[in-house]
Amino acid sequence: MRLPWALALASAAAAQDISPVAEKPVKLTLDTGYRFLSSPGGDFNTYRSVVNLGDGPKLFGADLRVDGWKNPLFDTLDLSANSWGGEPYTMLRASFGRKGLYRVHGDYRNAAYFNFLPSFANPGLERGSLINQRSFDPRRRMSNVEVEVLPGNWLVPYFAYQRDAGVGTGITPYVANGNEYPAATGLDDGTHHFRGGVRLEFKKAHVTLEQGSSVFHDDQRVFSASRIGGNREGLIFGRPLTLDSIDQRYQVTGGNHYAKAMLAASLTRWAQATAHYIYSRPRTSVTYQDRGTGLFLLGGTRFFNGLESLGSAEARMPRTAGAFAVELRPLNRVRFTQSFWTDRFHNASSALLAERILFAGSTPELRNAFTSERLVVNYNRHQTEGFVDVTRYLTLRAGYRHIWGDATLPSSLLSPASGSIRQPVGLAGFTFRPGNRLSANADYEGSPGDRSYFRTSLHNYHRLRTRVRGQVAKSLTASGTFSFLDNKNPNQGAAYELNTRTTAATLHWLPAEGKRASVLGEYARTSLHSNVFYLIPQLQQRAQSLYRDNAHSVTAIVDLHPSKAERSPAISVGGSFVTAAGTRPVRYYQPLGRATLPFSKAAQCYAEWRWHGMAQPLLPMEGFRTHQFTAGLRLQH
Amino acid sequence: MRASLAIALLFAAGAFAFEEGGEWAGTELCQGCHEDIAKAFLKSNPHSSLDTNTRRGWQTRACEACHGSGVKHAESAEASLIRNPGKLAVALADKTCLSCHANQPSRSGRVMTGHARQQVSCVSCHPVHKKGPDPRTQCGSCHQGESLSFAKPHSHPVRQGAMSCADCHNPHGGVLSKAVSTFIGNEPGCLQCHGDKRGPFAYEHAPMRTEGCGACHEPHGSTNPRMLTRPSIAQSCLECHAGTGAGFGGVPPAFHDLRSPRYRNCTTCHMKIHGSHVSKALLR
Repeated sequence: MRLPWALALASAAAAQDISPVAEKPVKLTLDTGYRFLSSPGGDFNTYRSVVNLGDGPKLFGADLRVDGWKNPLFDTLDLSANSWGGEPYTMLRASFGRKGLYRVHGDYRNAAYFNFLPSFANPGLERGSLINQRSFDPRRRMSNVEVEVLPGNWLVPYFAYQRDAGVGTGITPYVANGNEYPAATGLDDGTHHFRGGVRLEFKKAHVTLEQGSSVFHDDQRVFSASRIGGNREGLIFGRPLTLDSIDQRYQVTGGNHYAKAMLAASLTRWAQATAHYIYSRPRTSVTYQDRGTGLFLLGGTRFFNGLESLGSAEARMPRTAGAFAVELRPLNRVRFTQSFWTDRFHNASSALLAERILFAGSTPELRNAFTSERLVVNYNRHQTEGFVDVTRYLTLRAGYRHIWGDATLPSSLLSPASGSIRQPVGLAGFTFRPGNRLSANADYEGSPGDRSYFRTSLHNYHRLRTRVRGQVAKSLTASGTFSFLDNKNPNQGAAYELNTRTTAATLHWLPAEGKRASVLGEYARTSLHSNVFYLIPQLQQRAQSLYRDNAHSVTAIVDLHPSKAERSPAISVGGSFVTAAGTRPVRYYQPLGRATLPFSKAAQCYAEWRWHGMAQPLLPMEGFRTHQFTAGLRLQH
Repeated sequence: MRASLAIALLFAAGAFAFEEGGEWAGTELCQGCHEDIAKAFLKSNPHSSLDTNTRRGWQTRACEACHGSGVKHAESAEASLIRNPGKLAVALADKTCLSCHANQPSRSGRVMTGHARQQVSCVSCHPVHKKGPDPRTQCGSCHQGESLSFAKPHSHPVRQGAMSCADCHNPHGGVLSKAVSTFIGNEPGCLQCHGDKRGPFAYEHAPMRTEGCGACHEPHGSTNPRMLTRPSIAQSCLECHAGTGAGFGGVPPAFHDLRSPRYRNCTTCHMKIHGSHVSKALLR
């Protein structure tokens, strides 16, 4: 795991010098090796849920880049592949095109989505059961292709296709009257998305028109043919509730058509405007059936032996959204921005569920239920902000945001049928940039709170974020961030209080331009305190929900080159470390050490050790520790 | 809104241009001194098409499309006599870039986002003359708190290289808050990978539509499983389903006896918590 922004900081120093190095027309890199994994100690399922790296031969990375190739088909070509060979996240990217004629971008990703944690959604944990009743093990495969025709011309047509599919297995409860039974589930969902449009680029205005369509399916299935006891303990009238067999199927199909228009225009030399309009019409159509046998409870007093359900449902959710923004620069040092965003949609649905309850030795009982629901949501946001360049280095800004809207829900025993949101927000901030070596900014927003949808929504809040970044010395760059959010909701019997604080600092030291050593360190301290009253359902009494999370996170990497020679071996040590105290204490360590030995300018070998360890003092069964050793070869041409 | 528009119009009389016209030096003249830059630029930089493209009016003077007229600079070799977008006030530097790039779909809603408001210039992330590191890997250098959240045990696989910040956020702008990107028209970008949560459902769970995934999940990383904002499901649910006063979220019926582990794992029964096609109580 290379720190993702290490390259960014490293290049920041290099970016001071804008003289480019002459590039080769063809560049090829190949990074391959073998990973050995010690048998994970602790819980293997938790290891798979969090890390999931396996052993075996791997292709860690391969890149091919061609620039300026005289070829009738393309003049640039970029191909890259990452993490192939049974890795949890696999990726392939391709990009090629011919200047002024066309450009193609494509990628493919394959992600393992394993999640099985013994303590999660496990009503049997206190009995010693370690079955996560909401676990899954699918793979998601996503691919994306986008073609741009005549890039750089005034008219640019483009087309894109995207696919996202997940197939796998898992465990999910089958909920029958009075009990729930963990059963095997097969997951199978997929979306195909097509879109196409045209960009029109005029001298003072740009217009984009796009139309798209998607189709998706979700064919989840729950099945079991063996007797399962369920979560309800004990006997009911001397008999245990059991599930003997279940076959439950969802057949969800749906789609969405949308149209989108965007406009960006320079109205005058001092005014620019953008507008954005989207209309979409998602819909779903569902067929559902299940057939369960066993011994179930009906109404607390009667037993039945089988349940057959057949359902169908339709839902349509037309949605209209629009935005308008204008940027005005009446004076050289003054500018204003105004933006307005509205999003309105409703979901109108109808569902029919027919059930047949089977009793041993008596006539089945039939039940039909038809419902028609409607959810309506209106959301609006208006924001005005003024910016003043007080000096060449200092910009002050202040503004106002107003959010308002309402939602109407289907009537329910559990919640009110309608609510509204109203949030006046004050905005302020500054940017101070006295030169390329130092920059600082602050961003504040606060609202006295008026109406919000939920007890834990942003209500009466203050939020501040400050950042400072500077080059302390030629070889030393440092940056720091401090942010806080204080949110209160004194109304609604909630007495909700949320305080979060984040303090983060980064240090990047490149002595002698990094020829002998480089140090990159990042530290963050985050704290979250939340108090809110809730009602204990069985007692109808008020209680307080407390949540505390105080975390320290460190990532660091130190690169050492024993000699200044071009082919000097290198040693890297570092890793990441997270420790959190509070409601759910966690320690998660990932140290690493790496030695690299170059054979030539184009080839180097390396050996790497990593350790992954996680411990949760309150949940000792959910921890793991493992060593990883990797030996690899990196070739470059 | 009207008031500030009126103020802006009042200032309009005094408006002036910061564009410049006049004579042009031409790419060949620039190349005379800045040979390395010009060679690499013309060879592999997408902006080099300006030098031959007649439509934008910068043919044979691609350098000056961004740097302005180079005549005085060429005569005196004085650095202060040519525009350096890297040293301009951010809004002015960005105007140079946006004169061509304003309408790319990702730029829509630019003024509403933090980067424009915080004066983060285009060139802060995009080196212009040569290919630098992938801008998608640079976010953590400013957003450190978020970057370190990915080191927590339950997180999106950004550090593993499986995705980048730009898969969920549009750094150039966007109409949703926190620059969350949109997908298939106006769906939040989360549904790009979590398609089975898309709906529309016959029976919706309201926060999915009004507050988004962030109502229950910590999107970057968390110490809680499933990246939930609370360590247990009951705590996540009951903080809203408390039945006190206004706001959505009623209290569960009294048979939900929290002393029983069955009722402390709400999603064991309410398994279709993101929305159901069959059950109003989200049971199947």
